[in-house]
Amino acid sequence: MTVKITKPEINIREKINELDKPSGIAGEAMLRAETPQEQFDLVGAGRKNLIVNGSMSVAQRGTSFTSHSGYCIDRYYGFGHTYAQIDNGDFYSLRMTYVSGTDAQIYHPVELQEGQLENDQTYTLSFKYKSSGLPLSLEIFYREGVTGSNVVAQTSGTILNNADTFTDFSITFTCKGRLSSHTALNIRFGQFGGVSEVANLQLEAGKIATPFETRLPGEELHLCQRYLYYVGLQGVNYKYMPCAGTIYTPSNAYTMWKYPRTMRAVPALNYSSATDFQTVSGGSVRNTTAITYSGSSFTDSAVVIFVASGADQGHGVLIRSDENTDVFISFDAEFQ
Amino acid sequence: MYSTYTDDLGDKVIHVTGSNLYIPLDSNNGHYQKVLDAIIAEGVDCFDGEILEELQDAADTKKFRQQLLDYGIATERLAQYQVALGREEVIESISTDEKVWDEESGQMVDVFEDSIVVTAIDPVDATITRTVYSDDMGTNPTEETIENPLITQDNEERAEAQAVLDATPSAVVDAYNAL
Repeated sequence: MTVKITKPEINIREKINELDKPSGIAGEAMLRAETPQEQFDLVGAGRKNLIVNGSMSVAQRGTSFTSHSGYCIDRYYGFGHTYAQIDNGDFYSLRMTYVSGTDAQIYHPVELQEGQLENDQTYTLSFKYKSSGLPLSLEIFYREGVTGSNVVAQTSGTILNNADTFTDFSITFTCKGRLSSHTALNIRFGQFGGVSEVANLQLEAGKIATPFETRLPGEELHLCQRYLYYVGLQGVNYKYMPCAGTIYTPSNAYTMWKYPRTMRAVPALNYSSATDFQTVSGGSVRNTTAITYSGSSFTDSAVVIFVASGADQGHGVLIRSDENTDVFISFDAEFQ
Repeated sequence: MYSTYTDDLGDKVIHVTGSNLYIPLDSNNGHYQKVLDAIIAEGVDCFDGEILEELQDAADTKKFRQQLLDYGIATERLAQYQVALGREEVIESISTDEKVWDEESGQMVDVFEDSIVVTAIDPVDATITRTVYSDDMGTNPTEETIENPLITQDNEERAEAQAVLDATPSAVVDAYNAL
């Protein structure tokens, strides 16, 4: 039996011309890219990392903290041990050195927002680390702030084997048990003896750890300033503060501070010493004897009151540091 | 120890005694939450002078919410079966949404079928026997019988949950029951 079939006619020349379609310079560059990172860089993709200061590059409070409890480099909270920012040449790391007593720990609280890190969403945490002494451990959990109530673990405790050189690690988890009272997803590194370093901390949606997203230094600082605005003098004395004000009463200079960006919460005020500052007003410089904070401060600006008696009411006033060089004033909206 | 600072315009902040830290009255501020925790734990002892009314109210609200949450968790824990007793199977007749003609009654009636809504779980063994090794290398291992650790853990967790329930104020219980 003979079967007869027909084929549609194809214009071979036309098909060949289609194959020759120019892809343009950008398209060619994309095709030539050898790594996903190169492709990200070409199209400006990024902003995937939910960790602020994952590069460990921003250290407004300083770079070395001995037996320290509280925040050290920006966005990292230590518990009584020694912490230091380390410059490795092409990247920074955070070094944690066990001192004594309970575990050396470092926390990074990721601020929870609606639609992000919600129940049933999957995320991948990646970083590089090295450690000696006892192994480094990793835990991820929801909590009210850094030290508050209602801990809900997202992963079972993970032990990271010691590594002499920086070693990549990633872990994928699906969020569960988030409560309305939770404010942060905490990433905790712990070590019961020894020295460890962590770098390039990245948390991103999905199940795959992609190359670390390096932000511009100014951009990373700007992100950190949502949580801390720190005015330090960096070794300079008689430096004028970024504020202006008026002599509201003969003793009280009311000054207004505009933060570089809107902060996460109305910040707490902290400063080096009440006597570290001077008011400059009406042709006179006066040493301050106290500093207080006005309850009218909010998330965009603060009113700080510098007390220095004998000024003329109604004059404008500037604030400067005295002869000390380790003076600071800070506005802290971090999780506690 | 905390105190209240009021500026010339009447606005208030919290000062941490003996430090250079001033805390705004903002519930999103982390330090503020610590102040509330201190008020809950220590009451007036953590304050130099009177506690601001709005601070006390916020602390009371935070404590109430935490008790409500703890009560719910404890209630759910106690609702779980006891591993020492196991769990009986529960069968319910569930409508299939079908109807058939019943000749006796002379009308259409619903069709039901039995469905297991709670599966049976056998109780765990009350005790276990384990081998105990001596630090003395020359001594042979011995065996000892102890309460099953699963039962021990279950009993401890249930006791903790019951303690939470017992310590919960009636106002919190009422609020939970009204949810």
